[in-house]
Amino acid sequence: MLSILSYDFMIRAFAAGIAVGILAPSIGLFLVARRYSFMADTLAHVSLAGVAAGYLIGIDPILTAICASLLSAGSVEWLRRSGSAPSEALLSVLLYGGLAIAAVLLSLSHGTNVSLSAVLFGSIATVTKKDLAVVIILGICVLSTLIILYKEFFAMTLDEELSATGGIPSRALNVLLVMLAAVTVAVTMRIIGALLVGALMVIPALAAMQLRLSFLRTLLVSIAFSVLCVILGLIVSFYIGTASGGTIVLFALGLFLLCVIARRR
Amino acid sequence: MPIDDHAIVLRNVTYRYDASPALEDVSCTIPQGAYIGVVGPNGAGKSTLIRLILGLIAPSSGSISVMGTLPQQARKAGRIGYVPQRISQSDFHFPATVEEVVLSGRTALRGLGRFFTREDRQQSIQAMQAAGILKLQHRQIGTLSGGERQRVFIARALAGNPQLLILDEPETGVDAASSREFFALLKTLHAKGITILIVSHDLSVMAKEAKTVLCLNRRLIGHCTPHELGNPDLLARLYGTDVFFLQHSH
Repeated sequence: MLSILSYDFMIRAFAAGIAVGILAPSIGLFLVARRYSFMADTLAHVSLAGVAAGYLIGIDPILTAICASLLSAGSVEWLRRSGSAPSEALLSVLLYGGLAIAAVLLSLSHGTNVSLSAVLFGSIATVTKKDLAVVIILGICVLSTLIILYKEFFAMTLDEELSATGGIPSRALNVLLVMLAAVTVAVTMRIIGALLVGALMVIPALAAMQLRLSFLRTLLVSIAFSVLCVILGLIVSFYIGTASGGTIVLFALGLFLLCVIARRR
Repeated sequence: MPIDDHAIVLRNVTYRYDASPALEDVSCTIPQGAYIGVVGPNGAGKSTLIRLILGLIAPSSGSISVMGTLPQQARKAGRIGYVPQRISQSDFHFPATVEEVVLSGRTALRGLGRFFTREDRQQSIQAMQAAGILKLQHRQIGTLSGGERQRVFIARALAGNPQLLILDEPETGVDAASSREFFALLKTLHAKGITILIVSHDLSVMAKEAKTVLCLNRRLIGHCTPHELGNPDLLARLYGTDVFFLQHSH
């Protein structure tokens, strides 16, 4: 363990990983409880288009990913309210649209193959000081909003119609929650990878839900699970040279299975 | 009777979705402390009436007052508790305890971005006591029966200390024993002075439980006693066809 921490890049990796480990399930639980798990994947694929646009026009890909993700979050809500199609179908349309745009933009930009691999599968070992600062600042913003509006988000997640009837601005809160998810995805993607970002948002939350706790405890346990998986995944990927994102998600899957088994007993 | 003694006053209320009226020229006065049922066929405007009383939609013409004020103000002040249709029958994998669900009934009252206080927790404990579910407070909502869950959502509605409780088809999908317990609970709440407005498709339940009944089929067909619900002429006007009313014990 000490030898890992003798590398600066691994210290940054652990710091960013733990920040993301706290952030991802904090938003993820609200999405899972609302049966909106697919949202994380959709946002990730649209963020990928943002990253590609960033590479193409020479802007920090995290910024373009956040912009693309926020734009798609707004589109999802607008389309959902318009009732043009079922929510899950709209999410699929955006997901494939995002992927198609990403493929086209990446084919137009040259010499980005290495970066593309990092974007798809995560490259926690290449986290720069700037990346770490972005993750921590945006993470604090997202978590602060969640803490301040926790009771409203809870009521809206329990039942949107009922909370609106009670005078809670559900519509605005729903848009805000999806926007927070968009920022979380864009930030987390740098660490976990676009293809697996949804997994860290959804699987620890699902694992914690198997324990039949209160909502608040489920949230805290899912954060603990997620941080544990990030730490274990980083250590293992460091020593055996596997992709950090995939290794972290495999630990999360293992934990989920353990929780399912524990519940059945 | 001064207007503040009325729970709900509707004056010539019409509501139109596009061109077709869902409710037409409905006028009635419901005193505070009433236990009133609303019956009518599908598409009679029962849900529209609830949405109007809750202030979620505004009448196309006419006026509504709830507890002497505008419906929206009454709702935001927590004077109306609402239990929507089928809420207790939802497929609940939601990871929350009874306590959390009931406490969430005070969210709007506490205000945006403000944390719950000890008073909020005490009010939600009282609401759980009133609904007879205090012993279930630490149970996860998904582990409860439909009848128990129904009580949880009534407790949630009661957590805001409402003067008017509105229930939309609450007996749907609940077994007979739970339904009996549920109506016993409503009687207790009514005895405490809460005005109860319950929408139902079950005439026999309304005849047995409510003190007065609104018969609605876009227009107000009648505002009668439960006994008068057996009148064949009234039923024919209400349902637009001959209806025979067989009372059964729930």
